[in-house]
Amino acid sequence: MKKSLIAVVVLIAMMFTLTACGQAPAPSESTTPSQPASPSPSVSIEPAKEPPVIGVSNASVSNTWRVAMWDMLKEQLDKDKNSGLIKDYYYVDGEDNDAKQAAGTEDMLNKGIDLLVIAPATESALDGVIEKAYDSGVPVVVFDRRCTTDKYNTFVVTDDVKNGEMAAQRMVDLLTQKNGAPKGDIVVIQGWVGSGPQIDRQKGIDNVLSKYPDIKQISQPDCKFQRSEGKKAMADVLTRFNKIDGIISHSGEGLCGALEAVDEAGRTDCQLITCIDGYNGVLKLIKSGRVDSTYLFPARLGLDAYLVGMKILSGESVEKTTYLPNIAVNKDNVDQFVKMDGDDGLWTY
Amino acid sequence: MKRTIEDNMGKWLSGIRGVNKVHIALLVIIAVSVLLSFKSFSNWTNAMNIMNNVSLFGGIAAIGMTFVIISGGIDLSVAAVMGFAANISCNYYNIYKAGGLSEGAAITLMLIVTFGGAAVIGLLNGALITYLKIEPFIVTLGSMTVLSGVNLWITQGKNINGVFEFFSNIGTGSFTWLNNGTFFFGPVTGEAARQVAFRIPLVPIIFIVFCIVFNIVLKRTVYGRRVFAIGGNAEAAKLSGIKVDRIRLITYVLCALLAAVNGLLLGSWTKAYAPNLTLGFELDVIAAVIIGGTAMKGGLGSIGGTISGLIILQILYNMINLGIDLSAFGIGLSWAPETYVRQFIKGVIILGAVIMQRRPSNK
Repeated sequence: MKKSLIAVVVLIAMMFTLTACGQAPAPSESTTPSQPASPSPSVSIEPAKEPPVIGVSNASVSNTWRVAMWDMLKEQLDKDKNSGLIKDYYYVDGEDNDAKQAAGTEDMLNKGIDLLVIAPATESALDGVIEKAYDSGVPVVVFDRRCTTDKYNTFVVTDDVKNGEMAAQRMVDLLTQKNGAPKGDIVVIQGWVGSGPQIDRQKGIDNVLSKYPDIKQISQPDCKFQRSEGKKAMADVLTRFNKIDGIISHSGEGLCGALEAVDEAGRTDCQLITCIDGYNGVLKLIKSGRVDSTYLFPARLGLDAYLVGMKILSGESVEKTTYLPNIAVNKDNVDQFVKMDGDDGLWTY
Repeated sequence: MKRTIEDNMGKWLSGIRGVNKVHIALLVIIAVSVLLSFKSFSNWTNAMNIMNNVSLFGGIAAIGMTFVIISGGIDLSVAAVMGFAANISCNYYNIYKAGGLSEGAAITLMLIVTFGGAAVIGLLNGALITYLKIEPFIVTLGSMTVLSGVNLWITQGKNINGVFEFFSNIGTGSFTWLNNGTFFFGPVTGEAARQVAFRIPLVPIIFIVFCIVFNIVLKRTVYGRRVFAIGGNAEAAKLSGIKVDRIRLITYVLCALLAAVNGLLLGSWTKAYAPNLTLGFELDVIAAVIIGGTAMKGGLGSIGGTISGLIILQILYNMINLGIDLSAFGIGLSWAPETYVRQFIKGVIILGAVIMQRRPSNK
C-alpha cells in the first residue's frame, strides 16, 4: 500500500515537471502582450514576422457539405504551407461533440497557434475556449455556426434567410410572369426539419410569401437533405395534388430526387422551380433549363473564413460579421459553377 | 377474469386460421385512411407507391429480422448492411464507367463483395453472440458502428451516384400496359408515364416472392421450427439435441444477407448512395416486426405479421404526407400536418400500435 502510494506521488510529480518543461513559447512573436480587456469591433495585430501557425476547429464532417467544406479549406492550407505562406496548421474534428471539440481546441491553443478558425458544434459550449484564445491574443474567426460570446474578431457566414427570400422572390416573379399575377399553388421541399439551414431558409421564404396571399404553400414535405427521401415524399405529394404550379426546394439533392418522382409520375405541371444550395446535380438541371435558379450556400465558407483570418493577421480590420455575398445561379452564369461531367453529388463552389 | 373486447374478438377470429391482431389493425387503418383521404389514398398509384416503399425501406430486411427476433436475438446492424450494399453497388458502377472493368466483371465482383461482406458481418455477429456469449444488442450495435465507419471511409464521406442499368431497371421498372394496348417491362417516365393504363412495379413482386419463400422456411422446415424452439426456451432446445449455436449463427448470416438484398434494391431505386441513406432504418425494421406480433423475447412471430406491420408503418408515413381530404364526400375539409408536428404524430402512432400489440402477461 505504501509502495503504490509513493509510486503514484512520483508519477504525479513527473507529470507536473514534464508539462512545465513542455510549455514552449508561442512560435510567433508578433502577438502584443497587452490586448484590450474588452472586445472591440476589430482587433488588428502587427503583421506577422514569420509565417503563422493556423488552428482549424471544425464541428464535424458528418455530411457531404461539411466534407466538401473541409476538403476545400485543406487544399488551400496545404498549398499555403508548401509555398511558405503559413508555417503549419492543426486540425480538430469535433465529430459533432462539444466536449471533444473543446478539448481538441484547447490542445491546439496549448501547442501554440496564431489564428483560430472555428465552426462550433453548438452555440455556447465552445465559448470558453473561444474566449481563452481571444484573451490570449489569438485572433478568432468564427464561421458557419454561431457562438454566444462576443469575444471574436469576425463571424463569417452565408445569410440563409436571404437565400430563402431570394428563392421565394424569384418564384413570385416566375408565377407573375406565367399567371399574370402573383398567385399559384407551390410545394416547398424542406431540408431536415429542425436544422439550422431549414429554419433560416423557411423563414426567408415565409418572409416573402406572406406578402402574397394568393400564393399558397400547399405542401411542405421533408426531404432530410437526401435524394431518396425527396423522391419518396414527392411521390406522395404528387398523389395528393393534381396541379402544382411550382416547387421551391431547401435542398438540391432532395430536389433531384423529387424531380425523379415527377418524371416517373409523368407529370407536366411543376414547371417553375427554384432551389437553395449548389448541389452539382441541380446546377446540371439549370444548364438544361429544367430548374430556373438556385441560391448558393457555398462549401467555400471554411476557405473564405480562413482567408478573412489571414487578412486580420496582415493588419486589416474587419467587420464583426462578414456576410459572404449571396450568389444566384441561373442559366446566364451556371457555366462558372457547374461540372457537367462531374458527379451529381459534387459541391463545386 | 374480465373479458376484454379484444379477448372476445380474438376468440372469434382465432377460429379463422392465422389471423392475429395486427391483421385486424391493418384492415382498420386501411379503412380509416380510405375514408380520410379518399381521392388521394385509394388509387392504384398510391397503393403501388406504398408497396414500393414497404419493400425498399426495410421490407426484405424485416424478413431476416423476424427470424432473428423469433430466435430470441436482435440485429441492429441491418441498416448499415443495407447502406453497405448500396455503397458497393454505386462504387463498382463508377469503376466500370471509368473504364476499370468490363460490365460483366464489375457486376460479378460487386455481387461477391456485397454478399461476401454481408456474410462476414453476419458471421461476426453470430460468432460473438454464440461463442463469446455477448448480448446481441451490444454486439450488433458494435458491428453497426464498425460497418458505418467502413461505409464512410469507402466514399470518404461523400455521395456517390450511378448504378448499373440492369439494377436500375429492376429498381424502377414496372410491367406496364399502355393505353394503346402495348405491353412492356421497364422504367416508365415522362411521356410514357402519361399513357399508362395499368402498371405493376417489379420491386413489390420481388418482395412478395421473398415473403412466400421465407414463410415456408419459417413455418415448414426443420430449421424454421428450430428457430422457434430456441426463441421459446433455449435451454430446453439444447437439451433436446438442437444445435442452438449453429442455428443462431445461420440466422444472423441470413439476416445480414437479406439486408444486403434490400440495400441493393434500395440503391437501384435511388440510383445513388449518400452516407445517411439508411439512417435510422434499423428502428423502422424492428418496429415493423414488433407491431407485426413478433415478441421481443422470442418464440412467437410470423412473416405475415411482419408484412402487416410494415404496411401499417408505410401507410402512416403516406397519410402524414397526404393529410385529411374529405372533399370526395362533399365536405370541404382539407388538412395536412404541419411540418414540425409530423414527427410527433409518427411517434404517437407507433407507440399506440405497440401498446395495442401487448400480450397480457398472465396468458
